[in-house]
Amino acid sequence: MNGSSGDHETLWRGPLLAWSALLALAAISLGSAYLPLGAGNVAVNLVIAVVMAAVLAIFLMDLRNGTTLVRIVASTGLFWMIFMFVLTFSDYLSRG
Amino acid sequence: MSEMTLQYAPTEESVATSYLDEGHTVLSWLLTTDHKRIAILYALSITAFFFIGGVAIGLVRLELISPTGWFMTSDEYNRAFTIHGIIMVWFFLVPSIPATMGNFVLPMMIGAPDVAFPRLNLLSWYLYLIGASFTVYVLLSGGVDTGWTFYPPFSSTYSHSSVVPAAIGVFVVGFSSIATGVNFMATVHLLRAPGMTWFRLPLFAWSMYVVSMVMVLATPVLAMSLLLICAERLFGLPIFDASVGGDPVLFQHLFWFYSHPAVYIMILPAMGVVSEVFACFARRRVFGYAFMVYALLTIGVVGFMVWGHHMFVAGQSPLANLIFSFLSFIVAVPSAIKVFNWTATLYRGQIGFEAPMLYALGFLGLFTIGGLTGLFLASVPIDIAATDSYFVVAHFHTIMVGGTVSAFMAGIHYWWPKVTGRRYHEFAAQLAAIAMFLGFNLTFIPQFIMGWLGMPRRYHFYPDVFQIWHVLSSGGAAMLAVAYLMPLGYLGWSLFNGDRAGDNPWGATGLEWQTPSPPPKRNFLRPPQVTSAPYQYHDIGRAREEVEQAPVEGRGDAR
Amino acid sequence: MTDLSGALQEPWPDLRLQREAVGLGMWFFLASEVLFFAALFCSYAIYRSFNAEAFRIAAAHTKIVYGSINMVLLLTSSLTMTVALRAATIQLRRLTLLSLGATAALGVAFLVTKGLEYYADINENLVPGPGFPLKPAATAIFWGLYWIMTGVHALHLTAGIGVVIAVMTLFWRGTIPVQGSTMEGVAIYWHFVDTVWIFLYPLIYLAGRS
Repeated sequence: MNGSSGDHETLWRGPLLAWSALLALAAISLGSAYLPLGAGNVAVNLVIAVVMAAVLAIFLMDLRNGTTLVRIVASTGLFWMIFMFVLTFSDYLSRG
Repeated sequence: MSEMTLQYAPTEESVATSYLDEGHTVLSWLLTTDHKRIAILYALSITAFFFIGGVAIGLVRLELISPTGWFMTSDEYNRAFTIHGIIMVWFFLVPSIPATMGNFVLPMMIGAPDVAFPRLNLLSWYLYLIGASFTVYVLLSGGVDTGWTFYPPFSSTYSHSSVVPAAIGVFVVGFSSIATGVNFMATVHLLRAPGMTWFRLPLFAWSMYVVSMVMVLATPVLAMSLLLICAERLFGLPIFDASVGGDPVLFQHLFWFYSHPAVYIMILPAMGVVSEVFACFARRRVFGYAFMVYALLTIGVVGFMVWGHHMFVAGQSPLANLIFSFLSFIVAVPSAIKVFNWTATLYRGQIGFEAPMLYALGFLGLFTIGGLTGLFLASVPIDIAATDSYFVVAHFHTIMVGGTVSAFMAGIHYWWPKVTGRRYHEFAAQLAAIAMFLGFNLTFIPQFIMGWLGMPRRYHFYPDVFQIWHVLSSGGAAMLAVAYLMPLGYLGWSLFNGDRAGDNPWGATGLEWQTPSPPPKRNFLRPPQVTSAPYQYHDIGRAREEVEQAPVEGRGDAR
Repeated sequence: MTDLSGALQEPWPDLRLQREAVGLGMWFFLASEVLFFAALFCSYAIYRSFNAEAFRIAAAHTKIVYGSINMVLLLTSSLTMTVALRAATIQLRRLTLLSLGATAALGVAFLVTKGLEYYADINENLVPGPGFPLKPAATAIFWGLYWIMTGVHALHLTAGIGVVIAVMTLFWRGTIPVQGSTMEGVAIYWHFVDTVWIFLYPLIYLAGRS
């Protein structure tokens, strides 16, 4: 393996694309925050954040090429977070 | 004939240098990355803390002999039961089986030379020590009086004791569990020997895997809840402060999101140990192996969804009470499957009553009682009456002490010949096992009774009618203390004077027995190959007389 | 091709398996970290759902310029980290060291910006306690969470910078030959810290803007 220019190109291209997408998404999120959408603001912001996290995980953390096991492990934390949110909110949203 | 069992036994013991002889200096221990030595370091540390926690509860039981108290102020009493809880939960029970037997046996069981990250393993022990030194500081600085649960607003605002050092100690020791958990999971995934498929893993290995998952996913939430308490106490950041709209019950949600699964952190390894012991001493394959695995996994996952049953009277909504109550009943199903399967394993077995088996049988009875009384408490109307009574205290001690400590002792005795290469005195051990079972019941059956009659926990003044039960309970505690001290004597004695154990004194299957005792540094003389399912005791049971070097007294199935 | 055996650790037979193990171990740890932050996010969500107006008022006082600059800095550091890992995998020593250096520098720049922001916050007395200027009372909860969330994140980043510099030193001195196995865990961890900021940014800085 040598550091030929072809290597360099493929090395940079993917990450640069992902990075530009992330910056663009962040800018959209920032702009949307100033629109008077009421409760819609936080929804838009969070959806964009989830997309950004997905881009980062898939392309920069390389889950795209990860084994099934790694993908399962990566999603486990999220599932457990859902347990936490759903069950905790089951208390708060039904309090008299 | 099972290759898994007989292929390597007997091994050439003279060839191997045991891990104990790989250096005799203190530094060779303190800087070791050998999982077996780290297990021993852990075992020594948690034993020390077990006895510190034991002294604390000894004082409590002594104080409770009199209904009006006789040598403690209420403040001292609060500090005594708090330090007992903190030490026993985080510095003994949580690391007990995983960090000692898990560390020692898990890599050997799956045929690995070590855990996946040996240096991380050593780091986890040092994290334990750092957390432990905070706790020792708490002891020296006069203790902490919040109860082991650290509930705000008392812990965040009103308590005048060492809350922050205690919380930091628990925070740090939590990361030692996480390190162990990460290590074990990676080990089981990547270091299994050729042929060691998932469904050939011994149940102890499975239990270590599931408990690691629980540790990794639950412990960080405890860490954060304690961090929030410290932030409120030190910097006045009002997360749980009701005066600005904060909710102290939120802390309870976060705390029990960890602390209920923590019960499974304590009991799942115990289930793993007794599965090994029952199979070996009944000379039977574990009944319903696959269901035992599924039950472990189900308990591990569903155990995360039941935490609200600790909060039925805390101001949680009735709907949430209903949901958590239902889920708590669900988690009893896999636990019951396990109990039935152990019973079926024993059925028509060639049962030998050596000490590990006695301890494991004690586990079976006590775990059943603890589990069934847990069902009482999972039911909202009963729990409302029984909350914060001695019934609750007796229930969780039956699981955590009757269950986990019995299994811990079973495992210690079962693997003692492997760890040290020596036999302990069988009769002394059998006596200790029986004393522990009787002492345990004498301590906690009175607590069930007085709890049901209305004796609340955490009080040292009480109506005279309860005195008889408290005295009985304290008497049982004294008996338990003797039963806990006895092994220190005969196990210590066996280190120097015990008979040489041989590689496989129990005639057990399992890779850890197919290597010299004590094992060499890299565990195996030849890389193991696995060709059969675990627990092939039917084959071995018949072949055993040929395998063993000398008959062992107390062997029940020796005809 | 250089000899890579210096990078191999016990008990692994080869670098490929070691790299897989390091990656897997780090993902296990990140599952743990997700739950660590989940406890904070859950608290935030509950309090915000009950105190929407107070959170809007309180969040309007965060410094969006600093927050946005930091967003860009961190996203860029994730880019350089990815490049560093890929360069290390094909053993481009110079590029690996340069991108690791850039990553650490961007991390430090984040912390400096954060420090300036904290300084401005403290000047405005935005620390819950006596003299806290905002009303209603629940604004104090937002600011309590603000300090804890950003503080915990900054600690994670500091740890990340420390490890990046450590790996850089090992590569620089040649203690460990430049290859991907040693860096796999660091890279995944770094991206995770970035991901946390991706969620903190809307919750803290964008909440009170419309």
